[in-house]
Amino acid sequence: MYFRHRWLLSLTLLLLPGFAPAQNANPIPYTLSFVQVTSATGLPALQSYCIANVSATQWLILGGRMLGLHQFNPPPANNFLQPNTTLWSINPTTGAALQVADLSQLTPAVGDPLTSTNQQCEYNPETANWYVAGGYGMSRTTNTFVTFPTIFQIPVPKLVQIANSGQTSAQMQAAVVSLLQAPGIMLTNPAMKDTGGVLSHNAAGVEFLSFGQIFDGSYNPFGSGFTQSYTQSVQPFTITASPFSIQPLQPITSSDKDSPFNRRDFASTYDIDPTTKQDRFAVFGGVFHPGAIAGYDYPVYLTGAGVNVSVTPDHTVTQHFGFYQSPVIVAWDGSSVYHTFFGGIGHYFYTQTAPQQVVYNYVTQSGRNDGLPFIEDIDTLIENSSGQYQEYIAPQTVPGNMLHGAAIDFIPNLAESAKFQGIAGNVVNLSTFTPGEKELIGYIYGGVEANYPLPCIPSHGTQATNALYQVYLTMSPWTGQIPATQATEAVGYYTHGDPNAKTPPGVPAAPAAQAAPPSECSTSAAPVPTKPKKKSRKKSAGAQS
Amino acid sequence: MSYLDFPRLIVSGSFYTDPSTMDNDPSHYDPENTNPSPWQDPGGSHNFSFQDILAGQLLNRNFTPPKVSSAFDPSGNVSLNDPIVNTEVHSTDTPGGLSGVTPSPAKMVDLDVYQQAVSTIYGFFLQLGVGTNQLVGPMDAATLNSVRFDRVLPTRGWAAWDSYGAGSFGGDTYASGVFQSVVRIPSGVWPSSSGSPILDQLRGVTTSDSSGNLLLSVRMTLDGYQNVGWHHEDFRLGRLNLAIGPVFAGEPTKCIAGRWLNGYTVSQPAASLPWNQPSLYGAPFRIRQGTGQTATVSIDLSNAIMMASPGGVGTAIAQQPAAGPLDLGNLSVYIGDGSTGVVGQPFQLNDVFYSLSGGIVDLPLTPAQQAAAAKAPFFIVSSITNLVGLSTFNGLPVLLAEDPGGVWIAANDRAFQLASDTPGQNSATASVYVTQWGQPVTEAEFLACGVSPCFPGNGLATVPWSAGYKGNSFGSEAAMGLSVAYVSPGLFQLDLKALADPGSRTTELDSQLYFLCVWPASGPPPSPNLSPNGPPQEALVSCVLWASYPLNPNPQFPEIQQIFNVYNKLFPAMRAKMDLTEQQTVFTFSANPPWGFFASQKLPGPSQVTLPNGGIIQQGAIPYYMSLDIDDPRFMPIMRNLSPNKRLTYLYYAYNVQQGLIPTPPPPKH
Repeated sequence: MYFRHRWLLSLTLLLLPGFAPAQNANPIPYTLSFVQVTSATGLPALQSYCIANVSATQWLILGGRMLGLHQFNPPPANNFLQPNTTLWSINPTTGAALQVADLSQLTPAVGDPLTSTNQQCEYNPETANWYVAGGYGMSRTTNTFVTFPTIFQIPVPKLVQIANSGQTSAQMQAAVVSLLQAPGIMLTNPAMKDTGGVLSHNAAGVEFLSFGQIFDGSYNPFGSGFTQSYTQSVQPFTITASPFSIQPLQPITSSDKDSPFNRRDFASTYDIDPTTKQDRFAVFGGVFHPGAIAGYDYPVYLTGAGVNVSVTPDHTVTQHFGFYQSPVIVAWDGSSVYHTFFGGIGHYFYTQTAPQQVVYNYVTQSGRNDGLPFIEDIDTLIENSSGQYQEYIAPQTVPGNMLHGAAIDFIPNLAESAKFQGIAGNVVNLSTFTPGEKELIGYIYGGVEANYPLPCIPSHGTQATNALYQVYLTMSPWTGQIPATQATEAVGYYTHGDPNAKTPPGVPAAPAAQAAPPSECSTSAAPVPTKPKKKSRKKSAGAQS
Repeated sequence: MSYLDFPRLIVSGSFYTDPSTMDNDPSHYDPENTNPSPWQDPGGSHNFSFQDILAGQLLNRNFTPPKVSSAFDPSGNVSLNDPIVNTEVHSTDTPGGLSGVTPSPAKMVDLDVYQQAVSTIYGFFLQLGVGTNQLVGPMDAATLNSVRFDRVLPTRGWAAWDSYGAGSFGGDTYASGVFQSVVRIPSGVWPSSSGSPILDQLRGVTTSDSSGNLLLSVRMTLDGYQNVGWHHEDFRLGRLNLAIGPVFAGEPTKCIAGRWLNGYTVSQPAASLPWNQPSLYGAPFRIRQGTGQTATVSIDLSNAIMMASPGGVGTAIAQQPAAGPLDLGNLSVYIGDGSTGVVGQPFQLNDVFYSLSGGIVDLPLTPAQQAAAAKAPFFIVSSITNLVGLSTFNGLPVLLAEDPGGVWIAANDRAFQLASDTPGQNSATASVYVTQWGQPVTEAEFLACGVSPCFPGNGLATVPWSAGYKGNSFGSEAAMGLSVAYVSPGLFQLDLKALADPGSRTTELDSQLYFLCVWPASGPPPSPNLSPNGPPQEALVSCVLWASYPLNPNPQFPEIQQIFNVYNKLFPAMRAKMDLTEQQTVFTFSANPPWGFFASQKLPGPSQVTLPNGGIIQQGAIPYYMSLDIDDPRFMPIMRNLSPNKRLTYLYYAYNVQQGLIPTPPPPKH
């Protein structure tokens, strides 16, 4: 039923009321360009990590994983291998990476949550505190995978002092252990038990732990021995910094029949509500609709600067891109807000290289297209002061047609902080640019790298990447934008192994006998070349125009 | 403008109370009923506290100490960083608010078995502050208002068979209500520099009473109360939402002389309604003029909104409804025909709104809206469209709406006890505030009033006539006198007079209950016997008129035993401490200890009492506690259900014991 819905959806996109009918030839008044820093080879390959963007020349990073997407193997297989156990200090301007400490050497109570993945994190430069909530990982105490019910308040200046001290590794390790294991750094509270959600706050200081899930046990969604529940809520709370305590409030839930809060691993960012010109926190995409292998195609906004807070799904728009956590570059021109999604995972795609398309078609015809392929497109969702949306695909893709962008966020360049505004200082204020001015506004680092949009072998063919991209904004119209309605919907047909499943209209039918893997899949276990290759921009069959 | 004004503090947490349920059933007052049913919490002591009195006795208590959750400065800007935020707010639980003395928490008691909707908190002392600057002051006795029993969405549905006791026996878990009063802080304990800028600003704008105490307006909205013992985690606990603001000269202390939004209420049972149909209560609101052309409307929705699930503070379970406000989508406030647009911005109901904003929404008014508000009603619409049977605006359901005529009547004093046979206690006055479109009514003849004895079938009786009503005594209708007079713009005074002996309903229910009603004289009076239409709770005054009792200066123990018998029967917690029907016990504690014992502990109280015959009492625990002020948390009887002459008769007995006029009784036989 779901795929029929999707199929119908693709035919009616142009009629959706949230989209402004008029299409501007140059709807985006600035141009983003992405340059991979090929010299930054010493960076660790990481995804789903926590970052404290401390200064223009220093990031602190912990948590996350050093492999690609998790596996789905039954126990005792470990589906979440190679957690990142290192506290890193990275200089994005030089590509230098320093291993500050091995957090696995901390006590289990402290070290396990800090070395888990998909924590909810936020660095607050005003208080210089780095908050790390929840996360999924191995508990050495119980020898099981759990979602941690913890929150840390890490004093970043002290970490910076350690990282920049020039001490030996052993000295730094000792100092970090002493700091992070000190009383008052970590709290345990069931309200913080979450993974794949997001931590944000508003101007009054109300904190929000939004969405995500609670997963206890080994990740084996098709098996047993675990419990999984989406929080389906926004958990508001307040923080008292000293002594560190939190005061959780009752979760905010939704009576919306579409269960818009049943999402995790989404793209999210602070932005500006163009209808009110107030700060806002936006959540785009995320997975999954209850009972369906489908991402959300409309955003949820957290608004309210004080203690009058609203959490509102916007059903007036149907996104084509930004279905999974990926970098979102936000720009504001005083009237409209622009959200640019860099690669990641979408339900639509516009560009695939020829090899990518071969594999995509093979997987689709094998009945394994889950409708959420990795993509290389760069897409911008525009919302104007009337709350109307337009969505465009950039003529450029992720450099080298790399399938990058999943499981990471955009990192603003603090050297250009005067170019930003907003509660978190991440919204590019276009009024600060002069015509033609070009600035390095930020970075994109790491994430999941996929060999192909869909895997030749189920749940294989991805890895963490250490790719570092510089993001430039030039104050001149971004020409050649393509309406997102011209993208191809990833309508596959996921049979769940059911041989009697019927193919909906418009969906490539699975052959009676599964086709042999294409030659591309013979090397699918190996990563695609990191060297940018010549782009083969080809629109897929079935793309709508 | 009271707690609706700024600076404002919001306090969230748990409260503890344990009113005994033995006195909740009229049949229990039948002398033939010597073994009354206990209901859900017979052993309660009527304590009301901001501490968990059962802490340490029961495991895994879900008690959240009340704390200041947010503070608003004089401009209405919220702060979560002011030093007062996240400080604990206490009840001192001691008489006089003194530290280091024997605990005796405030007491919450009903006025009458048939009027349990005006429960009153006596002897409450509030304590808040930063560090060592702790402000402690007594709260004027506060009477429950706006009580409702449909606070929580009935997730089974609205049919009669769906309620199943609505969460607990008697539905208390699904109840909520409001206590509004003032706290009097001695100026000496409130320094001008308290450590909290917003507390200092509050001190700067609030007024003082004639004794120099600085006044705080307090509004407690209580809900989520659990009084079923097997819920040991939250037994006797509920959720507190406390708003604290300034008191300005001339304004009422226990109500809002402002405006009122009537909530859409489901008349239960309503099997035809969908399960998710919300039921709301009314909400007071005021418009505050700012500087220049600015104005703000402040609406207190704390008691009006519905909760998604029963319970109080604490962490919810994933995928289960949280005990926070029911999601009603975006709520938009309009005025009149709505042509002036949405007031401020739409807002949502959630626990940030409830626990950090106190359930109060403050919205700016445009000049056009200010003009419209002067002569047109406010209303609130929801963006949720799957509700049925509601009036609509632009296709959206109207959840709350002001009276089309804009009249609002609010009684400041709402519960009385009078006795025709006791000089000084046979009359009283009650203040009633009347506004139209928020402006004080100046028409002297605006109000009419009337007395409605609580006879069988009375629409406002809060419990069923379980025992079959007894005691429609001859002349009781004419025993209560009432008149109303215009005092000043917006202020009317009700004069209550105990004209005659009303008789008793039973020998153990020695009084009559009267509902005193006021209404616009230009409109119809309430229905006879207030059924089906009585006045709203907020405009209602309730009065117990004691049956006359012949004062006996030489009582013998059987008479005293008869007086105490019902108290003993319906208050097991008291009986466990002191059996007041047991002669040896009463004899002993009528003369012991000397009152110097209490004075030595520096407890507030009388050093002696002079009886009408000139006799002086200076000893005895029972006469001591029966001589305290009714606002003292130690006052006896705890339920305040003894007529003046019965109480005085006992004091004569105690005096006679002390004078050796009563022979020492034989030891008790068990």
